[in-house]
Amino acid sequence: MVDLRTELRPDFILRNPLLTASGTYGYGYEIADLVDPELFGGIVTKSLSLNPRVGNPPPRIAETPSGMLNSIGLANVGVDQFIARQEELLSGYSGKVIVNIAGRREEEYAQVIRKLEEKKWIAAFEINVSCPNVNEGGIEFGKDPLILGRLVRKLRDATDKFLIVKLSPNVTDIRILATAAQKNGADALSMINTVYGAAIDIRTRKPKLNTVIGGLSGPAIRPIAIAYILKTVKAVDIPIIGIGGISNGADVIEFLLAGARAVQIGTANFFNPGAVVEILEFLTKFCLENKIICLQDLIGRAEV
Amino acid sequence: MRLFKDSVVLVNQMEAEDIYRLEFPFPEISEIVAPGQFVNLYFPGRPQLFPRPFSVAGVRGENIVILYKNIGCLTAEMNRWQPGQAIRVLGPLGNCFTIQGEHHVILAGGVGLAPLLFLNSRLASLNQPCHLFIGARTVAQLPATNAITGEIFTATDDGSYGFHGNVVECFRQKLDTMSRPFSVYACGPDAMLAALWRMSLEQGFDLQLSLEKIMACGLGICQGCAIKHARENEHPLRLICQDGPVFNAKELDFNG
Repeated sequence: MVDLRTELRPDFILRNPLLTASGTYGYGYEIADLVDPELFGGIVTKSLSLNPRVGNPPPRIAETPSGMLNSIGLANVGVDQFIARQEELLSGYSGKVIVNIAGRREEEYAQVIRKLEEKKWIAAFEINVSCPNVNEGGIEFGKDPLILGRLVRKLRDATDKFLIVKLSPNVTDIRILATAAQKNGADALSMINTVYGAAIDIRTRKPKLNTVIGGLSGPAIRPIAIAYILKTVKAVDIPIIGIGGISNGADVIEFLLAGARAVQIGTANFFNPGAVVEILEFLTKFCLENKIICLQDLIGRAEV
Repeated sequence: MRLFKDSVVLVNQMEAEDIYRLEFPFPEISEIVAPGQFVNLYFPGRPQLFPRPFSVAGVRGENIVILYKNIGCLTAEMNRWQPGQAIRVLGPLGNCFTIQGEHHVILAGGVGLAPLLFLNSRLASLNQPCHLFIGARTVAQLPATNAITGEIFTATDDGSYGFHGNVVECFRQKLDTMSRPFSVYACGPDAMLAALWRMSLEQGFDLQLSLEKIMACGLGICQGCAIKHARENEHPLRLICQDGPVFNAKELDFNG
């Protein structure tokens, strides 16, 4: 029998390394009839803000080679509606519930956390400091190490839960931000969020996204994520959760070898509702074939 | 109930220039799928990531029928599928047309005929007569109409068959002959739907439109297929995949 568990901290163990990526799996149960949440080690919710957000005007998505451009703009129901509508379902979830949080100001992040801190069914918070698609409260928190550090410190003081900071690749040196997050109390990092991208319709000459520039996800960005993780694991001691175009089991192994202790499945939830089942089958088979008893023995074992 | 499953191509044949009919078994949904709903087809391992949504054009026994137009690399790939080709499908997705009143008018532009063929057969099985206005660019792009029940008017942009002009103008010319009140059901290019939407406001007829937009998931998760809603103060956006694809004209705003 293969042990798929992965430990982010002795008191934070996932039954398998697969998490959903924020924004690609709703709040947890919207597509549970098609993609069983129990197959994942945990669910990361869509970003929640203090108040509901409508998001950006259309067009909001475009397809690019092996990629998806999006500019949804953190459309969400707000923290109160989230609790009212999802608490009962999520309380019964046997994996880890990780709530992703976005804010326009430091205080908004803290207010969302305060509303959720007492909820025992929430295992962790993931802080979105890297959304490229909103004017305020997105990536500017994730670009400057001083601003990021101050935010993480404030949220560290507001929660006893496991605190994950989701980093943007749209910076000069991600290690500086990773170090700032660690120094100010982050328990883990998740990386990478979407990469700046744009596309133009050659007939209308108009950008394919209303906001012109959006975030690129999908297999197109996987090598970027691998490179950033390889660099960052050497710079920090806290665990890294890998994100970036994972579509199959081989991709998961690649992220683990690069040093990620868990991974998030994002865009693949859209283009293959069977992805998580196929990935779990692959991981077990790969371990058996390679005589690996514990999947996490592979973490960081790339020969670089 | 919606289901993601493996199926197999049974029929893949030309209906008109660049328009093809694909038929595959999907017994779990064949009795519950309703006109207006759609299915996703998946294309694993391609640089084009998104599944492609197709309106259900009909049900034959346990099989689902869709129409597709050969317009891009994935529809070109579909075009090469032979009977026996394994495919992955998900459905049924979205809402459906609401049959209301006793006088029904169908307006179809190009491959937008697909959901309306299904609606037409449903109306026929309910013994509800309808008028159909079917538009295409040229006579070659007009699908065969022998399976359609009702009085048919055709329009071609180049005048090669039927009314010379677009299908909305063709309908306008016949407006006075229609028994009122009537309900209109339509699907086609955005410009056609916008013109029809304006006409419905002027003329005060009930109109349901089936819309399309690029979708990454078809499940309401990616939130990519948002459209502007007429009553902005309630909630300014709707998702075509989840709140639609069929909308009442009163819910929509084609201005700006």
